[in-house]
Amino acid sequence: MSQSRPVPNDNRLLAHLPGEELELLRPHMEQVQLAHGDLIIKPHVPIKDIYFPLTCLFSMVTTMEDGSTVESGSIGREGMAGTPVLLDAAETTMPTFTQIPGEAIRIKAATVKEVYEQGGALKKIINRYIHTVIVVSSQSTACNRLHHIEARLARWLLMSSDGVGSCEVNLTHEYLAVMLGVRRAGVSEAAAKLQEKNLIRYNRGNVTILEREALEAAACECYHVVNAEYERLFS
Amino acid sequence: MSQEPGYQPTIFLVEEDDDTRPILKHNLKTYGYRVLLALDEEDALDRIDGVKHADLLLVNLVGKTPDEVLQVGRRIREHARYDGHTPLVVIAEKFGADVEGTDVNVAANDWVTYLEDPGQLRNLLRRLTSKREG
Repeated sequence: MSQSRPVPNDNRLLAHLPGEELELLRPHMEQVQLAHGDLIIKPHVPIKDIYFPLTCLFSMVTTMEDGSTVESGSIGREGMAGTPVLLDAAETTMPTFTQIPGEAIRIKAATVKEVYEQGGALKKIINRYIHTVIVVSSQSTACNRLHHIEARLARWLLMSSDGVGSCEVNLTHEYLAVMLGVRRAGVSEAAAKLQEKNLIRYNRGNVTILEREALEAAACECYHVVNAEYERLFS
Repeated sequence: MSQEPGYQPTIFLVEEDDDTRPILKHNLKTYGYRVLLALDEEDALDRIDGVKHADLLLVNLVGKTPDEVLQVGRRIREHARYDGHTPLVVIAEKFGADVEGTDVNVAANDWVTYLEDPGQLRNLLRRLTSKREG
């Protein structure tokens, strides 16, 4: 479903674009409402559209030969889905689907690539974003090996909350288990611990962050490392 | 816990996952249980031999279906020297949305929990140990 009057300021990449380049893209922007599970990038299929989340959260998934899947990353309003097109890869191995429903701005990939290749602010902003994606990926690999579940869960809840711009996020046990690379019981018990400290309220997949500062204190250093890098490049 | 004051129910926990084990043990102790820990089936069969009493057997194994974990749990319970009717709770790992959030009583004293909420396991354990104590 698409709507009129896109509000690009809710996406941090588009919000950083100077007026001239934003105006180049604006006529091609389409604000769309995405439902949980909507597949926006199919594996090994040329990417035709680029999505800039406003209130939704995307999930990138790695699928193994036996069919098992592991989440490789999430994309919220701090980023975009469809970077392979800009990197001349055209397609990717990883499907991307909507984890948390909400709105996004959709633009034809060819249009974004045309503006990107002009070498202006859009290219600089997107290159910096791709750098942060690499930082997040590296940090997450280390995080999953070294940090305990409670701190990792706190980090992912904060990241997801930042991604959708709300202190309430819909995240199931199953999704969190995949994101954190742990078993459901681990998610359940870590969430129970955070809930007992009154940092979150968790009911049937609905997570509400009650004490943000305290949850940040409970999160591992990775949340702060990634945030600091993002702020360095985008403030 | 509806038992006599000061009574601390004992849970025999078999938890294979290194990430989950410490936090689950910590939470069980916080909920007021005495926790006897085993790392896997083999370790559990060794340890249960020396256990005089447990109020509940809680099993969470990696890479097995709930039915397979139930079989493991029953073998451990049969091996115990104490009451053979101890409630057995198995934590399921892979399942569909249709059973999410349910605790299924699969046999007289055997339960499979399909976790969805943080308080779900705590509530089930409280219910089973209270019933047993009462």
